Amino acid sequence: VKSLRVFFLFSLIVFAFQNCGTFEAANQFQYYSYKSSPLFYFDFKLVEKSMDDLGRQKFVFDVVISYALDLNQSASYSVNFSTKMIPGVCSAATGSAISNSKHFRTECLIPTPDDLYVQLMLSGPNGESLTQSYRF
Amino acid sequence: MSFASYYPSSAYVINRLLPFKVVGASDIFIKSVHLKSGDSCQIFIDPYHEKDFHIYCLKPSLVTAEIMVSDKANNNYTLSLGYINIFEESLPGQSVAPTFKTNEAEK
Repeated sequence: VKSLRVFFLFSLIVFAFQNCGTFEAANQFQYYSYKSSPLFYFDFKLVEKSMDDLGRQKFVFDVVISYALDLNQSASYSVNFSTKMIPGVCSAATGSAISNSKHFRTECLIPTPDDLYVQLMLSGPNGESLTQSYRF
Repeated sequence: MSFASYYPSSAYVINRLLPFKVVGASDIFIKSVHLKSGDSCQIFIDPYHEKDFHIYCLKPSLVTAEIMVSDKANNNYTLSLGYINIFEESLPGQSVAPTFKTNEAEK
């Protein structure tokens, strides 16, 4: 019975430490959103959603993009905006992300309150590409 | 050996994963990373890119960190990263210097 108790206690300690390790590992990467080796590092953040006097809805986005395989090379981007009824509801934001132009803001004003669908398209210097979709 | 930031310092805001790279030597990899200041922040090595690490903060912070680097001959180096200013919000092109300095010490 005594050896059974010792075995039980030992198992409990091992189990507790295993779970602790798993928790730490999971916690460390909870903010890491890339599912595979990233070709681009990027972040697309809604920083303002407001309504003007005419009932139009304004969305402002803060965007940062970098080519992950060589930080000195540029990545091209295109940000396209649509609602369910109006494709291309706002002019697309396009450009080249290099140096200080890696960080920019873009906005879209839609005629009536609605969900906004955003497509972020990225392409690298060696033909790599990535498309990310968002709904706000 | 030093650091380079993938993002301009104007993009250093809370709730954003900030990628950095160890530069200045080939055939090296990051062995470990350790935050010295920045209570609401986390630092970790990129799981895919062995010379990259990331910082993520929940609150505005002044971040300093220590980065342990190894080369293929198993020489170890400790790099100090400081001070990175993480803001609540920052506009593109906004000047937030000085935010970034590195010191190197061979172990």
